[in-house]
Amino acid sequence: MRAYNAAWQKCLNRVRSILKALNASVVENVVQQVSGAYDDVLPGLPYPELPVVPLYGTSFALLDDIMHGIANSQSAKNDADGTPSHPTLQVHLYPPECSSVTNMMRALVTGFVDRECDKRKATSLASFDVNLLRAWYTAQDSQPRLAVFLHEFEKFDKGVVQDVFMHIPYLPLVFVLGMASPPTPPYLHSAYPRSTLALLRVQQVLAPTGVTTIKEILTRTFYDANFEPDIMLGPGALEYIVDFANRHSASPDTLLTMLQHFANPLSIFVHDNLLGQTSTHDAERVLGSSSGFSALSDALHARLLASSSQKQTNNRPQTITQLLGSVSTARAAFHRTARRMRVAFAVARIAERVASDESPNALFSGGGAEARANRLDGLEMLVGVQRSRATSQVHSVCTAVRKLSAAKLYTLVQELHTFLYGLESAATRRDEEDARLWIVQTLNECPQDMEDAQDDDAPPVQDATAKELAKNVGDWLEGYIQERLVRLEECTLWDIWHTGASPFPSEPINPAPRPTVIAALLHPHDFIRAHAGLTGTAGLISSGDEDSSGDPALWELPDTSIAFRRYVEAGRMVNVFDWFESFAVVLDNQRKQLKRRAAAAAPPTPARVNGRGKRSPVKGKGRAVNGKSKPEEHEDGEESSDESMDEEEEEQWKNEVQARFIRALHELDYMGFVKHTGRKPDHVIRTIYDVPD
Amino acid sequence: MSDIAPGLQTALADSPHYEFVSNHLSLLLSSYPPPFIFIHDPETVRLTASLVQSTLHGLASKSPTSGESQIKYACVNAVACFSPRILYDTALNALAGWTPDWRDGATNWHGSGAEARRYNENFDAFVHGIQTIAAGADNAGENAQTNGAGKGKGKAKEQGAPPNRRLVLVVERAERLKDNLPELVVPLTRLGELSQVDITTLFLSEVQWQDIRLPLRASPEPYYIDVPFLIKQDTQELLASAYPSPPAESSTSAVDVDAYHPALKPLYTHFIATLCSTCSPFTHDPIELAYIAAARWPGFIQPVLDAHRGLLKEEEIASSAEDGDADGKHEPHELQPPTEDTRLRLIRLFTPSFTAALESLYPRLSNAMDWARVHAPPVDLLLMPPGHAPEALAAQVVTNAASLNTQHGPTEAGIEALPRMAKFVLVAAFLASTNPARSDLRMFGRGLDERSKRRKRKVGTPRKPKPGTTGTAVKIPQRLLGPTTFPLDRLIAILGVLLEENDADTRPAAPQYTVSGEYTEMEIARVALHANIVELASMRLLVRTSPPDSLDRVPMFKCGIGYELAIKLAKSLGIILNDLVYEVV
Repeated sequence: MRAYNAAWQKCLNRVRSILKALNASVVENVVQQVSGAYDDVLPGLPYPELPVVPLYGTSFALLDDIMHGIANSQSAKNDADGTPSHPTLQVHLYPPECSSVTNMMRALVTGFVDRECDKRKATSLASFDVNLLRAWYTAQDSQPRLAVFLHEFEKFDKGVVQDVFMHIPYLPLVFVLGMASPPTPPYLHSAYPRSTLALLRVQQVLAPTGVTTIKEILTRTFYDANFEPDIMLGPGALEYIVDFANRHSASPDTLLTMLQHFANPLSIFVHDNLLGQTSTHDAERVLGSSSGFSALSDALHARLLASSSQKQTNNRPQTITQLLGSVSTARAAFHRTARRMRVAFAVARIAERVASDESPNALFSGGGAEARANRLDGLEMLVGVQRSRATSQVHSVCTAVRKLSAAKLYTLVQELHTFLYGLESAATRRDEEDARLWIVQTLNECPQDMEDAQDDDAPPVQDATAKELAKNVGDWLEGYIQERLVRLEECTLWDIWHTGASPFPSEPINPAPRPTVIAALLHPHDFIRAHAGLTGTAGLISSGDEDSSGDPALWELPDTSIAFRRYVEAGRMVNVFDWFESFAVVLDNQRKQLKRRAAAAAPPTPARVNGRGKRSPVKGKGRAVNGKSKPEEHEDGEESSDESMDEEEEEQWKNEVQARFIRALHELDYMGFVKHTGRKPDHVIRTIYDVPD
Repeated sequence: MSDIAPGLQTALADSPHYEFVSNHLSLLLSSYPPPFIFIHDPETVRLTASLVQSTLHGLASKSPTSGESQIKYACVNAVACFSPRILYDTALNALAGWTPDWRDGATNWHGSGAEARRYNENFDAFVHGIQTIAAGADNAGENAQTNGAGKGKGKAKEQGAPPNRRLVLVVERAERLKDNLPELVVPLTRLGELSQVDITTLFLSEVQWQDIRLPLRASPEPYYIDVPFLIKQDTQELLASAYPSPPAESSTSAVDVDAYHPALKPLYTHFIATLCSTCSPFTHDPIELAYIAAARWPGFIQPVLDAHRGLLKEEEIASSAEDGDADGKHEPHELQPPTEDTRLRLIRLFTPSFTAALESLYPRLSNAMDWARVHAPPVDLLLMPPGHAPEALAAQVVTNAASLNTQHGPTEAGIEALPRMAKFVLVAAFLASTNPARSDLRMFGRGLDERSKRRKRKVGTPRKPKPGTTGTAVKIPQRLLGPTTFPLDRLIAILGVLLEENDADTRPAAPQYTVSGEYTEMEIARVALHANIVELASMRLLVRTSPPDSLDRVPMFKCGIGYELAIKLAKSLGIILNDLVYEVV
């Protein structure tokens, strides 16, 4: 668990820093807008305007950054030049506290006024009076800017905001609106009348959102040559994330939630093999001694054996030291492969970018949009790379490279050069030593080509050498990239560091509650079995196993299921009494069947309760074994062997049936299948129809 | 709403057009004012408000001669005064000339004497406050001054206890009184009677009195002043005389310092004339026109200033060569108004951009500052050959816009950036809102191929109205009536059809679903889908019509997007929307 935490923390930090970098420009922009809102006014306007900054695509992280940005810019400015800059004070308003003009003004005014002066006397001006704010403001020496953040702006009442804007107090207020809606069609323009808009100076700021952000994060977390995540996302999970981002929601917050799920039973080895101990020796001891770890080491053995038997036969680690050693070797090997893959991918992308710059039309015109979707730059390609589907595209890029002109070739080689020499980690750089050598060599060949390219008059002479060079580069690139884009599954113990092709656990992220509940009610045995399989408590289903092969009869189901079955067959309005009657029929049947079974097996088996231990079936069963009475209205004659109940027992049985029905009804009610209505006595309304069987 | 720029304010006071109103008002107020005056200005109420204020200010600051009464006034805005307490406070403070001071605990004016009375509790207290003021509460003013904190404006000069003082209470945007404080309308209009002092209530509104007044004639009939409409000529003169004073140094970066040089005023007059004649078919609100002018003028004048700078530079070079009488030489090259020829050229060049400015500024699709930045002309426009200048201007606009955009980051967002499922939901919502519910089975209960057949047939035989029945019952298409509400279940069902037909191929493979349609069935019950619906509702692209806090009821929605947007979305999803709409356009 600690290893998981460490790995996740590393990833999270990375993602956060990426997000921060993405947001930086927006933050800076907003800060500038807010602080400069009253410095930079167009002269000659007929009346002063109220600066408003709608901020589209807000997330909490972004807002947090902005607040800090505003606060920091103040101190920075004060430190830098001793000029008296205007500090910016912030007030945050949320829709619930702004239900009326009075409330909103009160929140606004007290938000500023109560800031630092706790010695405020009992004032005669109302706390929602803007004149109070004015009086306060004139008493301030520093001439602060007043920034008002309206969060979830769409939820504010239009009339209220309109009136508040109307005030235009003679104060340097700046409104920052957190908008959730997309900038087109503009919400501000559709919701507010022109007379209000005319008072505002609206300056939109767009935050980066959507699929591009997701792509950026994924690429730079898992495919950046300079960053090494401890765990590599497999194509299965990645594919799901990409699909989810496209289909449902592309906010960074969602992505973070999804990334959290890459847990693995063996992930204790993710980070290091020290098992939380300080030395390898300790780790050995722990692994050897602790009983909890013995299962783990067995599993490890088995895994290692399985993989090594395919490759080397005699290399079977026996001792724990050897075992750990082999684990760390495998980890190093895996990381190396993954690193090489990332570098190669980056190289391929550089090559593609340069090549498509060269001839964006000629190169990809054949496929049009389809070809563009196949670009290495696309989000889908992240999945493709791991599934070895990128080969064809790499090939086509290399072909394009072979056709490059000399000047372009030069830029390409130069970019590759800067990329390879700009790698941060030493290990990566060592890995790519020969590639770097090669690049330098090529670069040395290039400069005369460069001059040729500038000299437009005589290209055909040098064309042959350029072509030759381009061909070389293209060949080398293809070989280089193909060698490195391997499937990560081929490494030993890959499933520790790589989630592989295993599908993403989508159900917890995006469940479908209603169909699941209905299915569970219709087929409770399947559901219990699946649940038992999941939790590993197979003992829960004891007696239900014998008839699990076929569809169980109605009477074998739990009470709630029986009631639900009857409910499904009913009309729109359900008469509760009828429902109860039919339920009672089934229960009687159940009782008879149980009795018959009890008679068949002389030592009475425990009651079939289908895992619903809370219900007390003992009474019914005991009565059945006692067997003295029988129900009156359901006596068909064929059950002649049944004993009849006496009065008291019958009364008891009826009570029990009623209690069980009420309980089932309440469970259904709790799950929301029943709606009560006052219109018709003893009737309830169904809430779902069209139940599949 | 008195926040009019000073230039415009002085221009207003001098405007012959408004002279009528101001003269009328000052005459009335200084002689025998009626207790209740109603000024009705349907068009330029902001200007009138500022005019009334400046008139009153003039009257109040005038030291009273013998026999005249000192006028004190208070302006309250019925929008800002949304509660009676604020109205009382604001009015009394202004009448008493009292400014609440923060260091004193922001206390209100509390009359003379030691005991602090509260005049803002109810209307009765308010009337008492007015009576106190009218009875010559000079002590209060003096007290305030000796306190050193709050000083009444214009009060210093009348410490000699003038015999009587006349109070004026102006209520701007009086139409809002009816909504905010309906119980105050009648008492305010009868303030003179109630308080038995010399006070005049002045209502100012763009709505007529008969729409404001309460029934049963509880208010007295006011003295009406109707502000006449501005004609084009007046507007022009008003705007031209409102030539802004040159801005202070370093106040702004977007505009040249010399843009409002006094020498350029004649050119400004011509500029305003052209602007007015271009825009007059669309708007004749002087404020709007002034707004557009403020956005356009800096760019308009820039070439002239550039030319002037060039001249100065040459001058400098020349003077440094001679370096003789440099002092004398600078005198003639102060900024000169441009020649007639230049003026014509400038106007011809910039006239097309007036309409562009109107189009984007009047609905406030952009703001004046940004617009002025984007439409700044290239350097030295006047030196270009006349044929090329318009192209250069247009090109410069494009580059300016591009540079502004790169500053503000990529603008790829918009409705296209919505997730795929949200687009499906929106299209389904549009269909649910426009199609009648009884047509659902017909529209969606069949396959794709049947639908296209129906469309062809329908195109072939357009329905013809029977002759003679046209006037009886014309059915208005639902699209024009606005969206209807629909329950969530219907939305989900329609969404299911759309997904089954258009989305089934793009999903990730899921082998566990065997029955056809089962996958869709699961997809439309997912949590993320419902989350999407809620999020769309919070964006107001779906409008939730049922209260959000009742769990028991089925939530009802309304579609928040229009036909064009729905078509666009449907196209991006591959849905043929016209096949699914009940009333084909």
